Amino acid sequence: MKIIVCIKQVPSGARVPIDPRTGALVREGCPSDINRDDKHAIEEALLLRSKHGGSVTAVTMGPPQAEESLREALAMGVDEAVLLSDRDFAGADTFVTSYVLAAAIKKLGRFDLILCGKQTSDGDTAQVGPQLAEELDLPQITYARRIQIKDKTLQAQRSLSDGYEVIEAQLPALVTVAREINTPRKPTIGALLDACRKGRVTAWTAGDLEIDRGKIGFNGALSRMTRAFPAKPKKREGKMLTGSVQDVVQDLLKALEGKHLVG
Amino acid sequence: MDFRLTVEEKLIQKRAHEFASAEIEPIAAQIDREKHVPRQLANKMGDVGLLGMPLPRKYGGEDSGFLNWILALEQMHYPVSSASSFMNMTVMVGRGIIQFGTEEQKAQFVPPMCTGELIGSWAFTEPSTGSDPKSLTTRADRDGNYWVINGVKRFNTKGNLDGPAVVFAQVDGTKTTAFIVEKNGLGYANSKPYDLMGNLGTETVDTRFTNVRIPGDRLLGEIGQGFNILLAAAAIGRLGLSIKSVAMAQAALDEAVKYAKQRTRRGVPIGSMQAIQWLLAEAAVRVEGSRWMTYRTAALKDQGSDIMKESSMVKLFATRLAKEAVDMSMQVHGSYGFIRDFKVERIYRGVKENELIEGSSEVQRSIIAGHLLN
Repeated sequence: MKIIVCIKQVPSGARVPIDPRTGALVREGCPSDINRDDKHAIEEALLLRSKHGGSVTAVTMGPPQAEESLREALAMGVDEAVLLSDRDFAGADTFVTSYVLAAAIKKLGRFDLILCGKQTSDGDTAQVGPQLAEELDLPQITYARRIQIKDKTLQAQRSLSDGYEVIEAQLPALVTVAREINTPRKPTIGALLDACRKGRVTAWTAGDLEIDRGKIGFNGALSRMTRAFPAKPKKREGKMLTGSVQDVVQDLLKALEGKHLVG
Repeated sequence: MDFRLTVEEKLIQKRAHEFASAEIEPIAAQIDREKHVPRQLANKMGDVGLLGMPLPRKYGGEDSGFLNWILALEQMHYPVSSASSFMNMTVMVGRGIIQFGTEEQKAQFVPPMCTGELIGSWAFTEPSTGSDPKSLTTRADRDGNYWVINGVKRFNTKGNLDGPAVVFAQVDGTKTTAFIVEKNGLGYANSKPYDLMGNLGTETVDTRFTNVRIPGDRLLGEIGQGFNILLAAAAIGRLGLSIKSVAMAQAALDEAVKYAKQRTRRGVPIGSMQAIQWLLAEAAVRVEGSRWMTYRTAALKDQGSDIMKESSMVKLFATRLAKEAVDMSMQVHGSYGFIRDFKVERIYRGVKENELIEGSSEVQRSIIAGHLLN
């Protein structure tokens, strides 16, 4: 079974500076990590590989420093890594990102399954997985909390707000995973050193892919970020209850009932 | 000159940070309060590959190099300074055995130290001497195929935990010689751990050797080679202590910055006051200078340079500047910094030790001057 995992390097610090001119996040110099949901996708791919055999390839689009996340994915156990990096990719929205990822996946050749995290912690759109499935004309299952594969059929439990539904799809397919699907492994120091010293990361630029130049980067993007700003913390309200103990208890109970916390 | 960390170095740093945040930070206050570092922490460090990082893979290490080790140690010492002495001891003892030991000694003792199954210790200091090998009174006498060791060792860190101790003793009265002694055997008796001022939980004991018999093949290196073995390990020890100082000072500074933003006076954060800003700036400069001097010394070691002088220089520099930076950070806290609930109080108690152990600052000055005048 050949599995492709799409990952993204995201800022890991609590505060990411915002460029006041462009409104974009200033990622350079910020501590970064593999997007948390994507680590669950990597883990699921590794578990499926140990069950069904085959290989796992991690793919990411990003600036050159995204290599760091690919090395970490190699240390977790993926077999190959591909970095899609080109100045012409800059300014991409989710539509462009899925377009470029699709081109790279086509170049990689035959595959059985694509796994993605359900969403990223920076963009938070949850769009790339589904858009990638559309680009590649694949059946897609989102928010999977369990995956089972038998022959060429994939069965997944799809998380809902009040339960889950079971969906089947024929391979090849694309699945985005929810966090409850597994616990991602953490690489050892030795595995990290091996990934950095022996692991191979293939780097492709726009010129290596069969793509329409007009559909990539800032010019290809269908959406524009007009403004980004740090959210203001919600001001908490305090209320002092006074009176006799009985009154205070009654008022407290009433307030808690009003918020459906008791009763 | 490129001062940026490589991808490999950044990933090692990040992994150590993750480990320290998940396994050490939650029990940092408990370690200080109970004066005890949980023994199983060493096994957890071993599972991740943190214990024997710069030691060869052939013997259970990771071949990481010393700069990677230093980057990891910095993260590991950040939450509480005593928890990661397992890492220092493994590398000092493991490297001593690898550099001077026989193939059998390396295979027997180093891999179980790298997993955390055995804990190494380094028994040099005695009640009457700290850094002078000529003044050692512990002696080793031949008895057929055995050596018999008698004497007392002071400040034997981790001396009560099972594993190999590198013990320095005089053979024929004047030949300083190192031996590998399995701790807690017949004739090996420990005092209770010292009630230290800070860095609590390091399990620092006195050990009395009363007719401790060890097989002849536990001689480490050659008779009379003890001083060379000591010097080689001391350079590594100083490097470790330097980055420990940096980590402690950084932790104190981070606390001071946080406090300066939170604490208000007349409605404004105290961080807006110049008196506080100057303290923070002076502390930050001390941390940053010490950090890069330590990184450079580790990089020199990785390049194959002798770091006898440089390790003394960085140890003298970083331990003093860290102490000053921690003092400034505490000053930012005002009276609150003197309360046990505040992390800076714990760091303040611990940071002084760095100027005293692994050769005091005065000893480092003598070593540096010796190199300059030689």
